[in-house]
Amino acid sequence: MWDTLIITPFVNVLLYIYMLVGQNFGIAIILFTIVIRLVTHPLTVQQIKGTTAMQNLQKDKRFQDIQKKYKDDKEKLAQEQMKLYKELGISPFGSCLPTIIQFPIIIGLYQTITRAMAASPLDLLNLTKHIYPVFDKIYPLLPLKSQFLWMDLGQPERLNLPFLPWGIPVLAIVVVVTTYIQSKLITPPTTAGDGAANQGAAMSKAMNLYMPFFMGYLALTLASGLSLYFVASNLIGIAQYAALGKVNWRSLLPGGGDKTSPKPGGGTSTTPKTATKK
Amino acid sequence: MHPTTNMEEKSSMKISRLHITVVILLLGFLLSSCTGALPASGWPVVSADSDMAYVASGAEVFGVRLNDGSMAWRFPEKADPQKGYYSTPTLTPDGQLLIAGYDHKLYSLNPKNNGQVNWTFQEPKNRLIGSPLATDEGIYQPSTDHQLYALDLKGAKRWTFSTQQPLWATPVANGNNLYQSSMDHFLYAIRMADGSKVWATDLGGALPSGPTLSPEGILYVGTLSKEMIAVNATNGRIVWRIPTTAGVWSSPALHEGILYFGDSGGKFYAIDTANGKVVWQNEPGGVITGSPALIENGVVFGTETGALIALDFSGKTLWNQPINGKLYSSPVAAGDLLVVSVTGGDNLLVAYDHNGNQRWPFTPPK
Repeated sequence: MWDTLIITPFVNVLLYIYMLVGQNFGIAIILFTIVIRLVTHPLTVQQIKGTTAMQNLQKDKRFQDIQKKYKDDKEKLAQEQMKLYKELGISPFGSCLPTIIQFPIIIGLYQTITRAMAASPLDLLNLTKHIYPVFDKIYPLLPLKSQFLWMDLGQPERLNLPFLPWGIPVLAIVVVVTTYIQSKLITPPTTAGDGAANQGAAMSKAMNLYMPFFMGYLALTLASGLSLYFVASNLIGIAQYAALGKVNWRSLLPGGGDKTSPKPGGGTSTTPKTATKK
Repeated sequence: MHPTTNMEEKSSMKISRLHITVVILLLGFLLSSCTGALPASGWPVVSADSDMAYVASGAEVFGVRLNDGSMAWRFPEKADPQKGYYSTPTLTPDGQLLIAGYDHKLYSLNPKNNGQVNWTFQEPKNRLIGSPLATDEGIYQPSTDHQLYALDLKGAKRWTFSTQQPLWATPVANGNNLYQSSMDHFLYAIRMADGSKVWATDLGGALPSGPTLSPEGILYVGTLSKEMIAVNATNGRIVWRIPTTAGVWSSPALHEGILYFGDSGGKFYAIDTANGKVVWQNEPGGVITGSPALIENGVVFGTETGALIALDFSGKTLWNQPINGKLYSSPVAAGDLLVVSVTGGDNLLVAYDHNGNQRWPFTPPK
């Protein structure tokens, strides 16, 4: 089921792109990532809209009042929240549903690239099982040529320079940097002083810090074809958010984009700002 | 800030960190477990001499006694799951057992002394998928780093020959020249003495298996582009080529002017070497990736669906044995036995007599 609906169509699209771009697997991975991200762009738009609506809601005075008023009565709190959602026309699942739908697609994209790299007989045999019978032209192109720039896309990447005794993991560094930039750019500025918003902001901050290193570790150890996909995916993600006007460029500056300042004791003081409802 | 709120926030922070850890662990699990870092995957392969079978399977290689299927030794003593051995163990004329690994190394073992290591050749820069050819003159190891390495019998390098893509296939030799299939679509003739190129012919598709050389000097090799091709070993000219229904993954067996081989579409062919005409074909079903073994009255081959099939030379079924597991590799005739290695089955190795009666199974002890 998974293979029929996701992997097999994806494999054929990737191989078709590989054929069109003159058997350059690196370019094929980048274009394939762009194509899939464009196809899922409407979902990304919905996800961003849903997230924005939820963020604005948290700044709404009525929402904050409800939180305080019913903090000891979870059931009533949920009822009142639902009422407010209806009144403002916000779907509580507006941001997570598109994410949930996109998730298998992203996993499928990742798996497709891994399978297409087929560096052993069993992997290549399995890859051929995914090729549509009508797509006969691809057989003379197998296995895919894994050389791209200085990289073997089936191996972890290192740039070996004659004057250095070790290889530099260029792609892993690029993955760390682009993941960090992407997460910083798409994180909205924090303003509210209530617990829920602070918790969300703290989580975002921690994710912004840990995730790039985690992705960097994966890039360091996994085949460089996947690292190339990570980089392409990060850059396309930034472009998508920028096109929708959701990129917070100031957040790249030191202290930029964060309207809360830390206070001794772990608390935060909030810069006064009028909550606006869009 | 109110002390209670401060405590709540600290508690929130703790929960957040927990959430982040869980998210990262889940993501890591998904990314690595779904597919991972191009795992060392392959199928177990077997070879045999007069009294032992040698099976390479993932992290280990086993020496198994042919008389009763008991284990004589295992290599290495402590298996490393990061390593993989999936190339057919090769015996040299002076009694060494060569094991090519996905860890980029070629090992020489002493099969009569518990598989102890004689020497290791560590120069290849990528996986060794194809097994080496061993002759009186030396060892010829294909590598996925696009090189064919020629060594002497003590593991010292003599020369290398470069191709454009990985080498998965064992070369064949006629005393003067080596014939090497490459995934770059070329079949190469290489002078054994110095590694110089004699000729190279583009066959239009990747060549995952080595050619079969006839006494008349014709090479027969299958391609992933769905063809079986006959090539003149003297000058590299194509003599004939015939289409198959799917890719050909293994070397054909040659018996009295007829080639026998299967393809990954599940068809099995008998081809007249004189003109490339199909003498008969059989469709047992299931992917066929291994070469057939020749027995006195026919050929034996395995299928991915777990059938070990014996056909006589006219294509009639002699016997058909179902096996629990997948049969990707070539069965091996060893005296009055046929041994076959199994992927994902109850046993790693099963031995049959030539009538298809099971003699013993082998499962590695824990």
